[in-house]
Amino acid sequence: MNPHIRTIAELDRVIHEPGRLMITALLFAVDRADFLYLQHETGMNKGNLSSHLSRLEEAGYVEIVKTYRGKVPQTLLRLTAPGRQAFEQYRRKVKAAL
Amino acid sequence: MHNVQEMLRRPAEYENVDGAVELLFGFGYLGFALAGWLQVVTPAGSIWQKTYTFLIYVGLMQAILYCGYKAIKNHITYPRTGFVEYRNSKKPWPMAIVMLIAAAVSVGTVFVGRWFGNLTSPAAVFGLFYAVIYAHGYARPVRWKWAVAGAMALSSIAIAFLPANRVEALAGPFKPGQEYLARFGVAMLLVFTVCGLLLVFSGAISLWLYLCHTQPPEQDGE
Repeated sequence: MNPHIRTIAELDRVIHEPGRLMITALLFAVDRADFLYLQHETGMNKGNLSSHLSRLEEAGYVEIVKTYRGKVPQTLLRLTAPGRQAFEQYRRKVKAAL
Repeated sequence: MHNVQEMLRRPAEYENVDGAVELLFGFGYLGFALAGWLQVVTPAGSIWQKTYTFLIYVGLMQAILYCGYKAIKNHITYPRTGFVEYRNSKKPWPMAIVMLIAAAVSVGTVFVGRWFGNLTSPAAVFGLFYAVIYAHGYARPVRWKWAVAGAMALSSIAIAFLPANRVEALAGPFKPGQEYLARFGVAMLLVFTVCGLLLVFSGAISLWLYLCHTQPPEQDGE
């Protein structure tokens, strides 16, 4: 197989999905952010965002912590070390493929 | 890939989405300018001329500014558009390069100005330098803020070209031979005052626009 085509085929499918790519890119640039911030920036509805976050959590890319800000529930999200590594690798591969 | 780069920049731009950073720095500059003007206008031996007064003043001012900044974030921004905690930057080089270029351009402008006109003081360096940093940091994502950066740069140059005798008059009595220092001090205070006012003005507009365009979400499960 052509090595460039192989690079495309080897892209991480968990990150490659547009919704999850937006989430990982946003979380990559910060230490942590809450659910509301991601919802505001990505424009996704709660159900969609929750399902993408669950998929990323399953893959071990995102750490989800449920807490409270005063009396208001808050969901804090952080990209894990494997998540950061996977995103960096994804960027490298996409750049190489393009 | 361009969209991914854009996404990576978004959190950094979010820090000043409500104008809080501009308000913080604007009131900071105005606070320093006020302390400076008090030292200029009060008689020798006044409490405002004492070092400990200045230190207490700066400490109090920083505490008030920090509390104000946190209050905007905790009570307005985070409940409306979400909470973000930033990483400590491991790559200071891009900003350092921008600062070096800004400093070189500013110093060059001042020296050129001195050859071609009656430059009062090199205090414009600070204003021009800050205008470039402001343009790089805050005006890139928000187009109308280029006008603020331009106003900062132009007013700094205008201050640098003020007639020397007018600037010396503002400095009050000073010892013979210290004209240059007096001019520099007053010009710096003018630059601080103008930059502070522009930042407060720009921050207040940003905050007003943010309040107009966002609403706190209804609370339910996530």
